[in-house]
Amino acid sequence: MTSALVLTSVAVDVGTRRKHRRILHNIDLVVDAGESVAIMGASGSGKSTLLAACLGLIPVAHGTVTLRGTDLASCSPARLSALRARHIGMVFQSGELLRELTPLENVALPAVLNGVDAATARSRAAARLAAVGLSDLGSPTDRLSGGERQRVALARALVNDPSLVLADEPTGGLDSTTRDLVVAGLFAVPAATSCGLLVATHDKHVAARADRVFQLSDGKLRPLNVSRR
Amino acid sequence: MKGASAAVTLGLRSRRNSTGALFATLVEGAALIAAAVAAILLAGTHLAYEHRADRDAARLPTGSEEFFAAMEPALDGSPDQRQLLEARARLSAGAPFVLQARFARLSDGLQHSVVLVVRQQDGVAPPPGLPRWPLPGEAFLSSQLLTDGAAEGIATRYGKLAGTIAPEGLTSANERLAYVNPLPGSVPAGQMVPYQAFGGPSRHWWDDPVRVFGDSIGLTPAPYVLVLFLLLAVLPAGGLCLAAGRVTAPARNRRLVTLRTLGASPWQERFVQFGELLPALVVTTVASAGLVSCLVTTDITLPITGYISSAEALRARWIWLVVAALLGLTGGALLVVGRRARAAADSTRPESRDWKWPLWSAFLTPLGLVAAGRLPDLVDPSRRTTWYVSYLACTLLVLLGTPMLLSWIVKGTAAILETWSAPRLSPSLLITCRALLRNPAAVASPAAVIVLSAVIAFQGQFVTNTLGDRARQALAVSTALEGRVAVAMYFDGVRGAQEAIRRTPKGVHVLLVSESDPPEVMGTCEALASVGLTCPPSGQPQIAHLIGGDLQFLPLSIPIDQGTVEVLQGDPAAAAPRFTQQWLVFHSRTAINTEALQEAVVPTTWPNDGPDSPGYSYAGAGFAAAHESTWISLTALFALALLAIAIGCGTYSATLGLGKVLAPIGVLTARPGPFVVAAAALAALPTALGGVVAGLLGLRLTQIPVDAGIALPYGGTLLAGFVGVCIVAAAIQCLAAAFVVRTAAWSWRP
Repeated sequence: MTSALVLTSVAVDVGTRRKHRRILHNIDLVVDAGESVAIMGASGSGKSTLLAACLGLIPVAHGTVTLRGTDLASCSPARLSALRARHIGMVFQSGELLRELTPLENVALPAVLNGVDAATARSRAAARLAAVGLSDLGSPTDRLSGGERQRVALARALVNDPSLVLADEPTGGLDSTTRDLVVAGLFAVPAATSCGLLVATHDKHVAARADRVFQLSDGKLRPLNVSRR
Repeated sequence: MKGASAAVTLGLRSRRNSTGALFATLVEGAALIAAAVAAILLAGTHLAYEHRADRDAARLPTGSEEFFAAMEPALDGSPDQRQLLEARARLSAGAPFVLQARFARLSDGLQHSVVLVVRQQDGVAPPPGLPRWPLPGEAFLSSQLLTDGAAEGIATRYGKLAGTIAPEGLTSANERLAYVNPLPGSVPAGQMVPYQAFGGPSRHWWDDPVRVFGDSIGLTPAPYVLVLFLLLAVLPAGGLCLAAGRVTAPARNRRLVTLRTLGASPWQERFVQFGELLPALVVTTVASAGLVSCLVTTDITLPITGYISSAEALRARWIWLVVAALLGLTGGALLVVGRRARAAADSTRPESRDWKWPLWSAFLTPLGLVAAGRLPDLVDPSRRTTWYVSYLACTLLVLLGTPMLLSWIVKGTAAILETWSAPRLSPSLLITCRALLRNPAAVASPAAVIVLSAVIAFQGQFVTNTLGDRARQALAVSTALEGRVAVAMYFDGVRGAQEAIRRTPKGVHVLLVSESDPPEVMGTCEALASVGLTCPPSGQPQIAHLIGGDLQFLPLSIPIDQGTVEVLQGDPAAAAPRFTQQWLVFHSRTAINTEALQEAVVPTTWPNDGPDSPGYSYAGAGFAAAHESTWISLTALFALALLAIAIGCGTYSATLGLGKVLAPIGVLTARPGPFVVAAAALAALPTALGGVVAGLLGLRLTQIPVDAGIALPYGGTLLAGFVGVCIVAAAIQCLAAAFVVRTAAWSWRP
């Protein structure tokens, strides 16, 4: 099976060059295509920092981050941006939708920015929205409920058919019913699209849906259960 | 105060450690320095500029009770010139000194006052600023006049240079003034006015300072300048402080709320706020001290107006400048903090308000403009009051409708562009248009403020440029003559006139015009024909009417009944003296080189005025008013700069928020370009739209009174400066927004 993401002995420091602190130690993690992985940890444990390292937004002090066989450290900023645009979809805790755009336009936006023509982007966005259970596209983004916003965000993350989807606390602030709805959509992605899914969460209910679960504490990653596959 | 130092330190530290600390300090610093500069300028103008009224009064000649009693018949409203001259001549013999003030021009058009003074009794104090009375044939000149007229020998034009006039005899350092004691017999006795002394009660002023010393020539009245500074410097500075308080409020309100929750007393809260303001206060205090030091040590020439701020005048009152700076800083700081406290209370206010103006409101401004444009056809400009009221009503309509029109322009344009861009999924246009449709007030409000400020400034300039009837007539005639005519007056000076004719450059015809009833116009057939008069047979005068032709200006200078003159053929150079007061009229088929003519003829006209454009003395007041409008230009540009900073701060703050929203999608899609464009467009739109609309409205509204002939042609300094400020401000806002959004994308982390 092809690996969507491989982290080998990754260490991340924060602070200045003279005065820094290591917050991630020797992280080894593989996310295969079609697999879902959850990282659990308390607030401040370094979950978001780990995701930032996976996106190549922060340099790693040690080790390598490989996305579809490409070492991110060896990429120029332009190549890194292109990799992110083409191969990574991201779901944020608050959706991060642009309120100026409609849900359909929000979803179509990454495709348009990736060079896809408007008509194709629209139809692809409509299909992605339908896949997450949203078909009424007329309401302004502002009026969407929290669950709807997250599903639009999920559709947006998938519109470019990425190899890897990263989700940072995707159910934070949602009630249990809405959470279940969003989680169902999120964890259906790997099976449906054969992409890898890496979710950072502190919610056990979310983590329980993942193929593998890791606990991040003291900067170290420890497996919590055995793969369900 | 208990815990005061701890609270100040807390404020200082919280500011230092907060995000956007540099921006907040810059915004507050800009507001505080604007407040301090405005206060210093206001005080400095009052101290140095207003003080000149005292100097003006101290040098104004005062007459005797006897003189006023003798002049009473002339003051009754029907002055008899002969009676006046006789009384003057009779009283002059026993007066301590006699004086006459005149205006003259340098070859480049700069006017100056020439005060002829002749001491007749010992023990009379000389004019202020002079160490002694000038001897016959001597002159004291101001330094500015010596400098300006150096190239054309001003130092010797009025006689032997006895020295310069000291500052206490001048109202300002850039006044052009000469005290001259003419040679005996060069000025007719009846022309000089007898006086008792310089300075004294105003009831003994025979003439006002304006007419004696030419105050209106290049020197603007102090109250006018002070009001301008108050309206266009102090108020906008206060506005900037309020805007700064609003911009920096959200970030610090949280701390204030936390402090209140923890039980901090109101005084402790204020000390924390003081600590937050401390960096800006320190920087602006140092800058203010530097400005005050400059003002009291160096003569500073203000741009545009050319006014010289006298260091000497300010040095004696430096403490008031310091007080003004402190008041400005304190007032500015209170406005910044006051706004913040109010903003905390208004934190629940919705972010945007949708302007739901009725559709007809979009037509108010065009209606006002159309009505104003039709005014010259509907109202006779000579019915001045009616014209002003009608014009003011139209202008008010234009101004009232401006915010609504702008809102509709923003909404309409955004709707059209959105319709176009939506099917194409053009991200930058879509985001910009939707943001505008969502909250048009974000662009329309600051743009409306720019338009209203600019149009009011333009209107101020129009009011200042308004001419009196005589000046308007003179200007119209002067314009119609296209420089083909110049005139010079001679008192008892036929010999001088004959000398002038001999010195007249080739190609220029000369006519001799006497102030008789009817006036006589004498010239060769060629000269008479050149101004459109039929040449009569020699020795046979003919009556002619001045209808059209190049002598139509004469009624401006000489009382002419129904435009009738007596035309004589003859050589003016050989004419025998028959009248006390005569005019030489210089005429050419093309524009006369006034400078060359003045240079050639001035020695013969002295001590009278040199040859000049006809009616210039009337138009002169209008030109002086045009000079006054430079103060409007200066203060308006200052106000507009403050306005631009205030709007810039607001948009920068809004862009920070937008940048944070756009950062994630920009980073993940690797294409931040469209978002940068959208943010830059939204940031620059208020200033750009405001600038364009204000420029168009201002130009149109000021052109109407110019077309109607009741204001001088628009100089354009203010408009050019305003457009320049708007372009620069919009460009800066554009770049700043682009920088903010790019930085937000670079620094974004999940």
